[in-house]
Amino acid sequence: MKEFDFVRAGTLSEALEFLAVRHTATRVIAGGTDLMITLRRNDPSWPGPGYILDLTGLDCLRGISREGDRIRIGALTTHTQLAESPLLKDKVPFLSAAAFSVGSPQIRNRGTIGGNIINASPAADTLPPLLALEARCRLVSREGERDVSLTELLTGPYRTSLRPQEILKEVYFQIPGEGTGFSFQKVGRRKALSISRLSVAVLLSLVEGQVGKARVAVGAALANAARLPEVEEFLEGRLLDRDVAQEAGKLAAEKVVEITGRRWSTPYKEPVLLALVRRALLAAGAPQSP
Amino acid sequence: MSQFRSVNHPVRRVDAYEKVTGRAKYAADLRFDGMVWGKVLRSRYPHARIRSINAEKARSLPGVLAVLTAQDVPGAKTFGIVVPNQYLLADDRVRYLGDGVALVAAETESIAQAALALIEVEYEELPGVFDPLAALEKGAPTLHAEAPDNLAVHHHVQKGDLAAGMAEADLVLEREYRTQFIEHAYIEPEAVLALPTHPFGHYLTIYGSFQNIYNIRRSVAKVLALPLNRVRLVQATLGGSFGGKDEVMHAMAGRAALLAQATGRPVKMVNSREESILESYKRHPYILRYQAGVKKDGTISAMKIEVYADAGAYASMTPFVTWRSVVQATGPYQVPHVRTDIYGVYTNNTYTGAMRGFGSPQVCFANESFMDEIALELGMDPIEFRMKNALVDGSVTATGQVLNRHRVSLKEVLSQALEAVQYQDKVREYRRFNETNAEKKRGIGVAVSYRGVSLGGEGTDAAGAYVSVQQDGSVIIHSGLVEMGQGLRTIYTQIVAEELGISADRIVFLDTDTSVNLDSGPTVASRSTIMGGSAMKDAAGRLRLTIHGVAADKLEVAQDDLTGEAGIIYSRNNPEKKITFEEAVRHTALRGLRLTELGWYQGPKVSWDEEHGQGDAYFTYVYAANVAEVEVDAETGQVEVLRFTAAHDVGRAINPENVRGQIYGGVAMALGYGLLEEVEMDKGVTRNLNFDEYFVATTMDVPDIQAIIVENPDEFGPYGAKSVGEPTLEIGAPAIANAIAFATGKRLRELPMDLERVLLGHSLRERRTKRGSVER
Ligand SMILES: Cc1cc2nc3c(=O)[nH]c(=O)nc-3n(C[C@H](O)[C@H](O)[C@H](O)COP(=O)(O)OP(=O)(O)OC[C@H]3O[C@@H](n4cnc5c(N)ncnc54)[C@H](O)[C@@H]3O)c2cc1C
Repeated sequence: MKEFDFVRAGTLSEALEFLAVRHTATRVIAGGTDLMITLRRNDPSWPGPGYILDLTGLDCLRGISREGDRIRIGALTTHTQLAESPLLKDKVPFLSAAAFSVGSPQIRNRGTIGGNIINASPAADTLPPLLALEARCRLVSREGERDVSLTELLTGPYRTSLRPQEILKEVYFQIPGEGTGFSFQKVGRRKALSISRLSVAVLLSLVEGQVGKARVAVGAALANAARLPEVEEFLEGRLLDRDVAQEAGKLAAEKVVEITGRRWSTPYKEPVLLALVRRALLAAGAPQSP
Repeated sequence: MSQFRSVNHPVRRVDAYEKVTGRAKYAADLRFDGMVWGKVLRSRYPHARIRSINAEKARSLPGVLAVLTAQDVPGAKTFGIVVPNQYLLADDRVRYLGDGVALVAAETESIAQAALALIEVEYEELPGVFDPLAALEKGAPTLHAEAPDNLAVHHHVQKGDLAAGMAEADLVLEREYRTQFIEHAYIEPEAVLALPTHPFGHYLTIYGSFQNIYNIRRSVAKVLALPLNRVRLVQATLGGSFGGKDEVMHAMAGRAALLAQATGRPVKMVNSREESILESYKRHPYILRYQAGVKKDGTISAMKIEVYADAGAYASMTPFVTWRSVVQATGPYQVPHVRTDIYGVYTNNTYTGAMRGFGSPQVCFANESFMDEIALELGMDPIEFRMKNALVDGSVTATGQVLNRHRVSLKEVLSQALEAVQYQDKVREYRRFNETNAEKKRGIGVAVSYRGVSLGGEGTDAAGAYVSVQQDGSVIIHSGLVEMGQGLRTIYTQIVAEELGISADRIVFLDTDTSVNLDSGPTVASRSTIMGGSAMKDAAGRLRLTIHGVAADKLEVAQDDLTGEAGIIYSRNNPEKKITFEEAVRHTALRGLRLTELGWYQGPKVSWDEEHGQGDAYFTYVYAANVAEVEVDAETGQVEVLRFTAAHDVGRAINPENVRGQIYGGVAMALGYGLLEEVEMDKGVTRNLNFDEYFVATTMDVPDIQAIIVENPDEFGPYGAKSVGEPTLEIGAPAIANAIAFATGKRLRELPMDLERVLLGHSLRERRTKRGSVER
């Protein structure tokens, strides 16, 4: 494993001060479920961090709360907390479902939403629902705060626009209106401890069967988790039925292949993405969507 | 009510408490004063000549105590139980990526690791061969001078007249099946700790995660040029093995001993998971070509089978593994005309050897898939087809053995399994389900097997036992066969308790130590209950005679009127006449009689004629039937095993709970074999070196398992017990394959039946960029 000094931040300003001075040699750690693996991999092309800055003492980065018509989630909130939160289960059940699909109980108890976002794996499970919610992220540094959309934050596989002296503080989104439907669909190789081979999150508002707002985001399909605007546009204003859902699925698969080109996995992912998008739309559009 | 008091009851495992409370000491937990760390430098290429090794820089690193290469091996350069062609340290050539090239001993593990990077090895890369069929072609690169054709072994079975049998057939069907490399995936990576002998010392001691402790000792003695009595191996608590901690431990124990002798210090070596998966041997991938002639009425008239097994770089257990395959390849059916050929072929892949099943999972997958395919082709129900051809009492096997010494219970186990699942109802239910569901499909599939118990014609089959009654009536036992999680200590404890008429908690089981125990051969082939259990019964039975003799004297009754139960020895005719076990033991000791016995059991006669491919291969057989029920997501290829039913004739269940445990574990491994697991070997380079990418079934993937124990006591086993360890995983994969074919109408002939194969019918291989990266 890489050698490093371990520093535990007592307050947020202490952490930001430390980063302001030593950001080039520092990696922050939350649950460590991604970072520890990177450290242990002993990649010879990476000298390793000089410092590991532990954020887990910063209680101000924890918790799920409702603030008016918004929900804010502190970066240190664990997947277990996301999965069990009555507020999330009530207002945005697909986010809880996605968090519940992560790893195993041990991983969900340690892994955080902040780590999931900043690690920026193309297959990170909370990202498709957060993207469908048009979530925004608050990034802080000694110099102050910055507010970016999750879409802007994600810049590629395992890449974000977070600056080295910044910390992700929290993520927030508007509470979707009554009658909005949700669905999270995931295909993995097994039932637990299973990285997504493909995932889809759908948020849908229907007025008498007609699609008002549609948000469709995919995981493990593109360089990073992303929305598919063409599919959303296609859906808006249509009467949702199986054929339309099927068409939308087809369009989603087409768009993804257009972006990625044909790869080794395309013969599998193309038909499966179609099916998952269709299923997600029909599930989200069903009267009592789960 | 059972006729037994201890045996045949679900007695609690004797080693459970230490294990579940974390108190058990595994090899990696051991520490000694002055201990140093050993590490292995492994090959950079799957096939290369070593031009030179320069260890100067490594030697001069502070904290490094020794850097050793093949030159420093004092005895034989190679080891191996069947064909000794595996190098302790590569001499002038490396044959697979896991080959050891040099050893380092250093004050700390990280210094040892750092020193490895300083050893300069100059290689000349050689063309490699990575496919057994390619390896058999003329002009293919070769691995071993003694095998110019890369052939590690060829076995055959020849019965009747194949051409005549095929000519009689109304239908001749031919299919090819393929299986994959499988990792044992024991939870504990390999570890040893070697203590040196000083110049006037007597012996060196090695603690370690050992399975076949006597074989390992033989190799260590050979490479160190020491007599067997100067090498003492002690087994630490073993964290799983499944056949896996054999040759890889010959190498590790030999290397640690070499370093200990060179440094005069205790040397510890512990593999990381990556090192373990890279170096340790795997279950063989097979290419299996099956041809059968069948008559319209469903009788099989002939079978021709050709199998190619990838042996990887060294012989290891390939000659024995493939022998079991060749004996059992036709499955448990009456086939009058048979020709089976199996070839074990050297390649520059990781070598392959013993793994739970030992050559049966591959042939069972092919054969039991094939049976369903033939039935489908005939338009016959697959159960009816199996019943029609099933072995019965007095049948003659493919190797010409008449099955007349035990109950041939194939039909019985199959009937019990089918009844338990309500098979015909399920068939109708799933057909109906599939008519009305497009996205999800359900299926049910069956597979059966017979399996030879113990070593059979592979070799000498005998085992010993030590039972010692202390003066207070407590008992110490130990054996040369080892506990590796299968429950051997509990089984032996129960047998001794039964014979002596005492409770199991008065018995203590000692660790296995090669210098103290009786060499009982390897703990393999599901033989520890039948062989070692018989030896325990022998020893304890003789102690009972001694003690009861004294008791009979004291009580003034005839000895054969006495019986023992719960620590009391009493007269059957007059239960008032009784004496406690302790009291009887005290008197036995006072009379100066021996209270320690060595038990011995020699396996009944078996025979094998390698030239004619015939023989009485095993002295008895076990029979099994598995039923898998699955739901297939027709749009994603996800397979969920809904329920699994496994019926096994074990002769007698010495511990029914333990038998169920074996069945649950075997089914979980079979599920991984069928659906998830594959060591991806890319031109000799292992791609998935840890469990983030090598997928074993999790508890969430394992369905409800209905375990059915069938008991037809065997004349050769203790209380009639036979075996259960390996049969439990050999037919899970074909049962699942048959269920998937029922569900989807598509036959999958390659393992694992992963998402891509189930959805598309073929696999997709990733050109991986970075470990742990997402599959895109
Ligand atoms: C066995 C296993 C199974 C897994 N299964 C899944 C799965 O099914 N789905 C899935 O999506 N993921 C899975 N993961 C990945 C991982 O658990 C998640 O991505 C998790 O959310 C990461 O959170 P963490 O707190 O552990 O991150 P850490 O490892 O602590 O950090 C990850 C990265 O984010 C940075 N970081 C963390 N917090 C902050 C912050 N507040 N501000 C700035 N930077 C920050 C760190 O510097 C690091 O680069 C799995 C991991 C393991 C080991």
